[in-house]
Amino acid sequence: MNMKAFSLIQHKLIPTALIAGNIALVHLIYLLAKGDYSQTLSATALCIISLIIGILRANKYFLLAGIISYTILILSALIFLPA
Amino acid sequence: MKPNNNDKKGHNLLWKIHHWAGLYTGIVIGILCLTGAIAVFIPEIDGWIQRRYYSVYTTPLSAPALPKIDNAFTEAKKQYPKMAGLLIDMPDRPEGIATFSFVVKGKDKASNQSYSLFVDPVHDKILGNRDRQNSLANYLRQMHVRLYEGFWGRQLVGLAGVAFVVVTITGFLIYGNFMKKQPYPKIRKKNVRILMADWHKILGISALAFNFVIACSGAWLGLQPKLMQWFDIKAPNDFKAEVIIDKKEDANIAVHWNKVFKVAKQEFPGLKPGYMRASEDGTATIEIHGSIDGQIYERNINSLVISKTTYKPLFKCDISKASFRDKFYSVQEALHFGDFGGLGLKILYAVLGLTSAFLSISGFVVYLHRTDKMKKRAISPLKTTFIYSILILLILIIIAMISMFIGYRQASFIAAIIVNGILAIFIIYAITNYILKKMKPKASII
Repeated sequence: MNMKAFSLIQHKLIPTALIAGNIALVHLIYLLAKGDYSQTLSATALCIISLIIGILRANKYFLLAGIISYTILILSALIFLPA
Repeated sequence: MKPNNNDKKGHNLLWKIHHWAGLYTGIVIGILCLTGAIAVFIPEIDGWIQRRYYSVYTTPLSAPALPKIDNAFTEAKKQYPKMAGLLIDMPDRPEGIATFSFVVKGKDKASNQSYSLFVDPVHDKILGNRDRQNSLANYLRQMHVRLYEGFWGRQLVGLAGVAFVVVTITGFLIYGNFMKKQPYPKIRKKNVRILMADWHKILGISALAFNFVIACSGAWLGLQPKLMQWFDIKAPNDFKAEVIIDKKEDANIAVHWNKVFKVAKQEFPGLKPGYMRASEDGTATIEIHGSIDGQIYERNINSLVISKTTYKPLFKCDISKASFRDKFYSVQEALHFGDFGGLGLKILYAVLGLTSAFLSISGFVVYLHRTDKMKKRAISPLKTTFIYSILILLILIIIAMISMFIGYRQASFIAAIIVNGILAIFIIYAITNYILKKMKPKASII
C-alpha cells in the first residue's frame, strides 16, 4: 500500500468512521431501548457492522460504505423525525 | 508530497494549543469525566439507597391507573403545618417512590429546616424521610455540576467544558500527523512514554465524537445561567403568570393533587409528570413538568401550567411542537447525561466517560516523560501521576464523607476552600512563572 492510500485510510477514513461509529452505536442503543424494531434499527446495525469491518481490516470500501450509508440514514432520520 | 512550512507551523500551533489547554485544565476535565461517569447512574444509585437503607418500597403502578398522593399530602401538612416551597418529585419507574421536598421556615434563613419525605404514590402514604441535601445523589450532582463550589463552580465547569472542546478539536486535527505510519489500533510497547502516547491517541480518536458532544453540551450547561442572563435567552417552558391574589391567600389554597394528575392526563396525554409545584407568589397556578417516552430532550422540559382555583390549563409546552431553536436548547442536557437510551446507554456513557478521564492521565504521563530529562525530577512520571490521582480521589472521597455524614454546608465550605485555593495558587504560579521567564529566558519554575 502506498503512503497516499495509507494516509487516506488511516488518517482520514478511520477517524471519520470512528466518529460515525460513536453516533451510530448511541443511535442503535436508543432504538433498542425505545423498542423501535424497524428498518432503521436493521440499517443502523448494518452500518455499524460495515464500519467495524472497515476499521479492523482497514478496508477503504467498507469504510466508505459505512460512513456514506450512515450519513444518509442519520440525515434522513433527522429530516423526517416525527418529534 | 512533503508538507510545506505553513502546514508544519499550523500543526505546531495546534499541538501547542492541545498541549497547554490539556495541561492546565486536564485535572478538572479528568475529575468531571470521572464524576460524570458515576453521575449518569444517579437515579439508579438513589433508588438502590432508598430501598437498601430507607426500606421504602411500593408495588408497581399499573398502566391506566393514576398516582394518588392526596392523603400523603394531608398527612404531611398535618405534621409540618408551616411547610413552604413544596416540590413533588414523581418517580420515572412504575415501582418508584415519590418525594415531597419542602422547607419549614424558622426565625431567620439559617434556622430554616429542609425536609424530604418518601411517598408511596400507589397506596397514598408517607413511608419515611431523609435529609436530601446530605444524600450521595446530591453529592454526585453537586460535584459534577459545580465542583461543590457554590459561587462560581458552575462557571469553572463550563470553562473546563470549553477547554475540553478545544482539546478535542485540536486532538482530531493533529491525529494524522502523530500517527504517521502507525496503523489504528496498534499500540507500541517500546517504553512507558510511547505506550501511554499510543493509548492516548487510540482512545482519544475512538471516543472523539462522544467527547465532542459531552464537551459542547457540558460547556453550554456550565455557562448556561450566565449566557441566558447576558443574551436574554428564554427557556422553552418559561411562563410568567400574572399575580392575581395575595401571596398568603395563594399559599393557603388547598390543592387536590389527584385531580391535578387527572387534568394533566386529559390536557397532555403523553406527559409523564416528573415534578410539580403549586405557586406561593400570588399567581394561583400549579406547574406540572414532565417527559414524554422516547424523546431525546431534557428531562421534565415539557410542562403544563394550570389554574389553582379552576384547574383549567393556562400554558402548555410540548417540545415536539416547538421551534428548532427550542428543540436544540432542550436536547443538550439529554445528550450530556445520556438518559434517553435506558441502562445500556448509561453504561456506554460511563465507559466512554472513564476513557476520557484516562486521556487526562495518559496526557499528563506523556507530558512528564517529555519534560523529565529537562526538569531532572526525583520521582518517576508514573509515580507522580499515581500520587496526584490518589490525592484527587482522596479529596473527592473525603468531601463525599463530610457531605453525607456531617452536612452539605460543611462539605461545600471545604470544597470552596480547596477549589478557590487551588485556583489562586495556580494563577499566582502562572504569573510568577511568566515573569521569571521574561526576566531570565532560560529560567523557569515549571
